[in-house]
Amino acid sequence: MPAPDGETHARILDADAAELARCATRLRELSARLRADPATPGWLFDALNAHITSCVVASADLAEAAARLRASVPPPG
Amino acid sequence: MTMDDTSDGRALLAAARELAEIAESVRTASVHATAALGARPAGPDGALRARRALLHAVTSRKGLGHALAGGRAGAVGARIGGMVGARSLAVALMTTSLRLRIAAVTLRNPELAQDPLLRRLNEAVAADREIESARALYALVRDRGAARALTAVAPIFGEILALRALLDQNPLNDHTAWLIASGSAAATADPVTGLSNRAVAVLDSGAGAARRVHPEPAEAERLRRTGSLLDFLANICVVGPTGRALVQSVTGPDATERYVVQVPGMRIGVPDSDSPGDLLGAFSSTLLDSAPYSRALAKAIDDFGVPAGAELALIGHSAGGAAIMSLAQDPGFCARYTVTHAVAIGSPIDFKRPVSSRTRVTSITNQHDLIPSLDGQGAGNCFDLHPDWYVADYTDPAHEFPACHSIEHYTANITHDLPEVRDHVEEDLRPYRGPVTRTQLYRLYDDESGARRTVATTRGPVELPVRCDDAHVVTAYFAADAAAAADLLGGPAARRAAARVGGRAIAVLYAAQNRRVTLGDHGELALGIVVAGPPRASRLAVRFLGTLATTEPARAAANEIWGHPATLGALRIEGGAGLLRVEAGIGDDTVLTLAGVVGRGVPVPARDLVVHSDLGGAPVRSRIELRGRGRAHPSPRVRLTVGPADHPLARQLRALGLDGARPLLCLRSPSCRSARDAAVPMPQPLP
Repeated sequence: MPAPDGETHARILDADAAELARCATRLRELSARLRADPATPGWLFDALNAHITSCVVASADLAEAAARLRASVPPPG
Repeated sequence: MTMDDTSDGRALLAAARELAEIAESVRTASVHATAALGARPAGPDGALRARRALLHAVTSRKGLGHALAGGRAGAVGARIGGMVGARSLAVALMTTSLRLRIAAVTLRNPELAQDPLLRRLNEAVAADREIESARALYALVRDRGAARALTAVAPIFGEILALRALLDQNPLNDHTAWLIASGSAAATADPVTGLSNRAVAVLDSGAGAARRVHPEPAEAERLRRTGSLLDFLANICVVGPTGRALVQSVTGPDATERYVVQVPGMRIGVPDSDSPGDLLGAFSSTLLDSAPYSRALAKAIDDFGVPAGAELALIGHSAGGAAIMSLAQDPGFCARYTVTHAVAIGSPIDFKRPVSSRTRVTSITNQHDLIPSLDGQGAGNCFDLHPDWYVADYTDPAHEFPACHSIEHYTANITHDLPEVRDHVEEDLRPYRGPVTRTQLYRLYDDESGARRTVATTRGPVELPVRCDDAHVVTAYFAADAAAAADLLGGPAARRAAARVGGRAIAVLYAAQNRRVTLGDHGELALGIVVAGPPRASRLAVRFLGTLATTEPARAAANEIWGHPATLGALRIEGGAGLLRVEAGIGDDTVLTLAGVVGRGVPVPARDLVVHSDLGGAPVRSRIELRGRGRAHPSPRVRLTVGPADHPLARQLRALGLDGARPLLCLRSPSCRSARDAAVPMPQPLP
């Protein structure tokens, strides 16, 4: 199987950036759901907030890398 | 005793599962970004900016963290990151998932939160404080002892191991920790050291073999004659972890004959004996699709004559449960027989998959039992790995590990404390309820060479090697009259072979009370003289002058297999609290008594005894192999008294000057294993 080219890598990174944004959304929803559950340990919400922030930042980093990679690929022809 | 049905615990476990899924997504993104970073750049200027952006994406502490992953470069990067303690977002998410699982298990096991030492351990592990977590574990073990400490952490053992492995600076165990945490496969390496379990498991090789054996009379009496879950569990209790398995045929309620295979757990003893159910076998049965244990079971089932297509129920405890699941996932075995049920008790089987969806799988595990977690999945498992299995994972804080792992404890729990589980499985096994029409016990071996053979004696066939699972052995060494020893050995050639110390010969009195023996329970006593081995073999050996056996089969074996003159008699060995008493007699006459104070002695491993004899006029050698712990008692305050019996043994003892003698050394092993194979010709005849 040939190695993926720059454009393919960029497409995958874009998809991953979108997936990480979805992960951030899932974590927000999870946090909201668990706030109603008194059995949830308090430390979890701080951890989830940190993870949400990281997912948002990582999503932006991957989108930026995808854009830079796409820009580095010479136009066809 | 509670089952896992608290809604709070379920909500937290569901959240833990979602976090693990998100962690997997983030890890996948990290692998992709690492691959893009490793790709060849397309152009000089733009490529440099792209690589900088990618490098930033996989190393930014605010985003993916130290996220080099996948491929050769990713593996190297991940290991470097692990060694310097740099974490990725994926690991952070998985860590949160594991901490949440511990919180969920703690809800069902409140003692985990109430116990200050356990709380200290939990907090230290979760906060990634290695030294503090080691101190907390040490404090727990010091305060409770190892057994109770293990019991205490058992419900969260897998999660604590995975957390430690993810957070410590050993990169070799990270993959295993991820497998445990993501529930994606059986743990392939020790999560503490990172050493490959599979590498250990593949050491267990062999095609498997099974030999028919007779149960002891007491065992035969206790084996059940009807079929039901409780009957099958009672049978496994009777057979015990002795390297044996039971096959029965039952006539079901519809008058159809069906077959039940009942398999105990790991054989207690040396790590790699020739039994497939030893410690190594437990590893391989858990981790490999097929292992000597399951192959040996297949041979037993074949020998029993189970017809092709017949319905089979497989019941196994501990490693036996993993072995029966290996059979259920063997396409060849399942093409031959119809495996309708697989019932595993206290077994690590989470990553076993039966071939047929019609095989009904039951798994019963105690959350305080560590063994079911050997594949990495324990009470904190948040994945629905087996939606079609009947799984009973209960908590029973009254029992400590390893006691709570025993089949007797599981049987008691199922019988008395888990009525709904018992009724469900009994109903499930309804086709197997009915009278037992045939019972056969098998001894299992790694391969045919271990199984050896059966030889005929005048008192019936004897399986060789003769194996004993529980022997009380006493060996006493005396200084004896050298001239008398030489006379008893017979002839000038044998005289030269006698080993001497200070001009005296060394006489040996060997007494063994053998329980759980392939030859049947029996006692044996032998009087011998220490002799030098043949040329080129420096080991000393013992030439038995005469023996006494307490059963006819044992007497016949001594005479006809090993070439010892043997008499039927009685033997009693008693001891404890520094005292010893060995008494042997023939009919109403006492032959000898060895009694007195042996004291504490010093611990020594049980030592083999090499025995020389003559069989059919040819010199032969055999070895009594002893495995286990014992104690050596130098110059013990015990005395040998020869009785009034006019028996060759008594006469020989008197001739050697041993009446009233005290031994130079006494070796005693109150509970060891022994094995004795056929005698082999000496490399060279006695000089």
